[in-house]
Amino acid sequence: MSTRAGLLVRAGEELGFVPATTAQSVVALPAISPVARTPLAMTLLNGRVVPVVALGSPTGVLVVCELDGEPVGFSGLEPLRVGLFAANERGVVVDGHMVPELDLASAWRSLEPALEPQLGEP
Amino acid sequence: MTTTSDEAALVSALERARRALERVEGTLEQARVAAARGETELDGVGEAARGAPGRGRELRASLQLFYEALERAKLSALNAGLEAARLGDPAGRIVLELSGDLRELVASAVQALEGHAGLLNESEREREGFLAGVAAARETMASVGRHLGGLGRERQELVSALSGLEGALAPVLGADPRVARLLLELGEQSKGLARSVAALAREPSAPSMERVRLALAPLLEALGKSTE
Repeated sequence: MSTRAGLLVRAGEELGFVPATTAQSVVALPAISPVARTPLAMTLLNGRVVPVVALGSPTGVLVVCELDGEPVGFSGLEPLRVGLFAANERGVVVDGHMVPELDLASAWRSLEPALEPQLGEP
Repeated sequence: MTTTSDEAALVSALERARRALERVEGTLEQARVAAARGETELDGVGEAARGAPGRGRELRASLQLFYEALERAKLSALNAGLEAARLGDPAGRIVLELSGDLRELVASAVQALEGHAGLLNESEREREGFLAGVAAARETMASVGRHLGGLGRERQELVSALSGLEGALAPVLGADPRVARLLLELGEQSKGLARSVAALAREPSAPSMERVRLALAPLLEALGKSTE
């Protein structure tokens, strides 16, 4: 069985795995501003505006990931452990339990249309 | 019609009442002083306890600083672990293990800090209870003081009533109660003196009248002065 490096997080009641290639860093939850007429929010990280996707109630931290070469923040995730975990095609095994990989890229892509300019809007 | 023994009993009762009133006055004064001192001491105790919230706030601010520093350390350890995990095995293994240990230590420290914050909350609740107790005790002490003030007024009433009683009894006793008491005492003592003179006369070796007159000289002299 191969190993995968990454972050074990709690998302609501479920455990999830974020690969180290996706998770860039974990920062204290900064001030977040909602983006009008979208389900998105944004924040300023190291002088750069970063979109924020809420996956649950705020936990005090923001998991910053790199998706399609751009940083995206995910709130509502509680980091539990970081390390190298035994892996299979569905995720990683932690303490004998299967923990699925969180599909953050899909979550992000599902919100992207909301950012496209609406017809008739300035 | 009153007899001499009735008058003596009346005078004696009045005298006892007068002395009892004087003792009551002394005791009341001591009680008033004690109540006032108690109030002052309770004020001091309350004042000392009222300074505690400021120190509690300072402690809470320190704990908050510790907590924030530990939270930052926890995130730093997590990010170091993330970097190490990206390096993979074996290059990142040591840093990964170190970051895991560090996170565990920080988590223990955060837990201890939360325990301290809980103790601080508990001590503040206890202080609030203590202050409430002091306030209640002070109110009780003030109430005691007020009652003592009321007793003082009652004592004045008693003094006034006793004076009235003495004035009302003056015609019965035929004189001012104090003078009547002195006269009664004098009567009792002169009876005793008469008994001593009679006993002396019955003695076989009775002294001459001249010697008896010499022994009674102070009394005769006092009588002579009072009739001048």
